Amino acid sequence: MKCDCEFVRQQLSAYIDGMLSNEEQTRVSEHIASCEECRGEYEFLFAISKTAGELPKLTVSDKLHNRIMQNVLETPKKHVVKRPLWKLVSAAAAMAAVIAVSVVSFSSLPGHPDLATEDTPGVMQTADVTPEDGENSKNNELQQMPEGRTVAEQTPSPVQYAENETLTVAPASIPAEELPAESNQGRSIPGESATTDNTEKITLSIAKEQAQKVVEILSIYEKIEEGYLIPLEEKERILAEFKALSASQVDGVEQSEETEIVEFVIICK
Amino acid sequence: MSETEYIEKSRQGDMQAFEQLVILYENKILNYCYQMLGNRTDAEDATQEVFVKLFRFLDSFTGQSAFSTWLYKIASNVCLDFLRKHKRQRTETMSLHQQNAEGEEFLLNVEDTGPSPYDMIQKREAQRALATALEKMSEEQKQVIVLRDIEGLSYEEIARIIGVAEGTVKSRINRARQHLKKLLEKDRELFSSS
Repeated sequence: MKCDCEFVRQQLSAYIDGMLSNEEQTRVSEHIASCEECRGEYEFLFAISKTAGELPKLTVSDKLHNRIMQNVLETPKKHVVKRPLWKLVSAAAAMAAVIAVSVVSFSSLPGHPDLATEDTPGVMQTADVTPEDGENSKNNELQQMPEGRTVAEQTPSPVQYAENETLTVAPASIPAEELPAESNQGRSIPGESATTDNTEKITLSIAKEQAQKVVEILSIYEKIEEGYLIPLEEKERILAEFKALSASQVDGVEQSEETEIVEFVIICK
Repeated sequence: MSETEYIEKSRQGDMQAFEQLVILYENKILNYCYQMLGNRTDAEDATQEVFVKLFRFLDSFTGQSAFSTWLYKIASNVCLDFLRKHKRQRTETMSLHQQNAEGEEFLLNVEDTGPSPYDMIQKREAQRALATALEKMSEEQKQVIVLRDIEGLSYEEIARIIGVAEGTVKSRINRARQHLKKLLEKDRELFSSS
């Protein structure tokens, strides 16, 4: 019985969420029906979960809604030129590593990205709204706001990702090469190196099997010709996500020396 | 009009359609941010940032995952960045009286299902204890509790939002709940039904 109690208590969370197999669900149900202690544990866990779901809910005020819309209207949509998601690096150059980070610095990127389209698969150019166009259309859109929702007076957004904003960036605190602790066989593919004062370009080498996950992480960011454009304040979190990704196995399989590596470039600005 | 149509029209520059998307999700996002950040001021700022990012990067949405999943992912990133950047302490307890960024006072909407005043008091005390316990948890553990128990998302959706396998979500939720149970052991009576 003690053995069953131990098993059951480990399953209680999944049991609450209906995430056990039929057999396990039945086993837990029958046990807690007959074991007072385990039933007490289940009821406590369930009550905590239920209380969390009943925590007071906030509602968005009209003022906050208007502030949101005002800031949205003041946000120019960027020109987006989509490039092929990754370049495959040949197996001869691939190593056992699942991720390597080489931090390089680059001089300021030129103003707006090139709008030229390329005749390659997966590349397209979206219809864009320039800041000037956005301004004119915004005035029209303000007049067309649905009744009951009025746009508040202009308030500055706490966070702005101005396209040409220049940030002075200290030399990267990330070492030129960083390997996850679990991957002793990993080696990085050296990145390019240059110096800059206000942008960082980071080349990531990822095992091909993990590439899709990287794509998902980066999918919310703007893609320019050089790579994915990421606000500087998000760099730390993004790199932590990639490190966590690389530290894990791929579907329980250790990375081999023949793992293909794909490259991603992120521009932190 | 369906959500998909709002998304498509928003991409074409239809701001009324975009506003409908905002209306559909702003409460959920505000509540998610509030639970993650611990105070309304930060939650409102974060919510605003989420929708600005949504507007900027709407073209990046491929439709491979559900729109809500993608939006929660943006919110998750914004909140984690906020927490790392600001590291503010929770300034609001679970008082029913709140004040928003404009200084307006309001009452939180609390579900009142207890049949007696004592039940209501017990319920509110339990909520207060839980909210305090949540603040003691790591960002990672708090996030899965918020997404599962407060936002009501499935394991699959949570896995996509935080970028891990479903099995990892299952074990994280288990560990987070066990941790909460430990933190709330001294208040166990508040969570027992009468």
